[in-house]
Amino acid sequence: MQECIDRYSALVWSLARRFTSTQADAEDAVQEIFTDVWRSSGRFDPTIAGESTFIAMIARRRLIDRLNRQGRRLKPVAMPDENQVGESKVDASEQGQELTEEFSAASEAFEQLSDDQQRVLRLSIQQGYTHAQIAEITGMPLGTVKTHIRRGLIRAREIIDEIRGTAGTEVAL
Amino acid sequence: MSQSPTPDRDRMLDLLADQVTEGLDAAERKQLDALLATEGEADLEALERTAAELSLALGEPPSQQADAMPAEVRERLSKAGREWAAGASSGAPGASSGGDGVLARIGGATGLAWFSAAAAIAIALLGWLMLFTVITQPEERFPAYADIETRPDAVRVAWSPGPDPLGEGVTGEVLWSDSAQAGWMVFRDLPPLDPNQNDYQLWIFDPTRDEHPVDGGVFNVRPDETGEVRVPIRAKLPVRSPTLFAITVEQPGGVVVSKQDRVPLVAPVEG
Repeated sequence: MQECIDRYSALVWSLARRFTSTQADAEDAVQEIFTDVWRSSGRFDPTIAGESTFIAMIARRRLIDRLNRQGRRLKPVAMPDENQVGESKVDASEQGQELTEEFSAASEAFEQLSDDQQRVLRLSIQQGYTHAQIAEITGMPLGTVKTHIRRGLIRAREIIDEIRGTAGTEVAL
Repeated sequence: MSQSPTPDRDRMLDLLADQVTEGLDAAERKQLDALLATEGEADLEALERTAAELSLALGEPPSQQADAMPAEVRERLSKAGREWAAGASSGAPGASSGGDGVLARIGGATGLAWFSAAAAIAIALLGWLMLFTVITQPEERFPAYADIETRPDAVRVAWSPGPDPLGEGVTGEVLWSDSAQAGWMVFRDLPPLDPNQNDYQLWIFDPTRDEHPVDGGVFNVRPDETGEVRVPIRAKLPVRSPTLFAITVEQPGGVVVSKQDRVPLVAPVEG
């Protein structure tokens, strides 16, 4: 239990801060997330995803649920910082090296997406903006933003699976 | 991922992408369920996994990670974990793995004993979560003005009128603590805005972050609020070294990117 917290607290805290507006909200969120991790650990399958991915999936799910419960009233970031996000890589702290290895395929896949797909996915996934906010920031129509997100996610999944040699093992999207 | 596109299938995939990036409302969820029934199975978890992997691959660079989990939060989490593990083991005699089993499972061990006790654990969890929810409402736990005021790193800056005449005659101050990552705005004689037309929004300028100010929250003043008004500061990102607090007038609900056309009040931090 404690090792799980020690190992993944930085990761979960980093994600929580992107989706919450106050430290108090982030604290509540991380407790919810870790509880869900402990409760869901029986579903972990190392042949499908690494530990960090498993925990990040749960964290994102809980954080998005919280935003929806709060009526999406929280705006996660004041201003987009699109210059830094393209260069950013994984955390170099406790599990940085492991993450680097686990997500090199994701980084490579991301680099192969179109510029527009990268841009909207950065704003959505990295910074936590809603699709409507991304439309406002980029000037793209909302439908275009959604299309880029959808196609970008699907394309990234395909590339990641090709890189890992697991293409065709997924249920079709 | 290569089935023929149709309007319904495109819509289904849009909704799936929405679900993993910002969630669905009840109507959207109902629509997705209907489309899944007619369009066939789709692997939601594959998209969730993709979003998670990209999220980590695009994580904040070390220079932006000054917000490591605070020690007190970590301690509370550890305590909750110990309570969780104790509740799990006492409520489920067969689950000999208890909390350690959870970690063992994450680490790749079988952990099936833990899974077999899931029902008993869930009951304990539900009670714990209900208790926790009552105790930890964010609004209730927002640091009091006096708590922030007594912190060694608390800064207090008086409001000055900005270019917009709306700030003329307004007095008050900003109280902020980097260690608390929280603060309060105090206003006297701040004019209420028609909430159908405008809200106030706070921006915090922190050059150690980047060139863009941090959103400090959207607020308004009720017409019946006379005298002193106190508004909590809810920074959307960690603030390390604020140099300026500025109030803008924005559309109802605030904006993501302020044009800063109307700036009634500013509070520059000296030093």
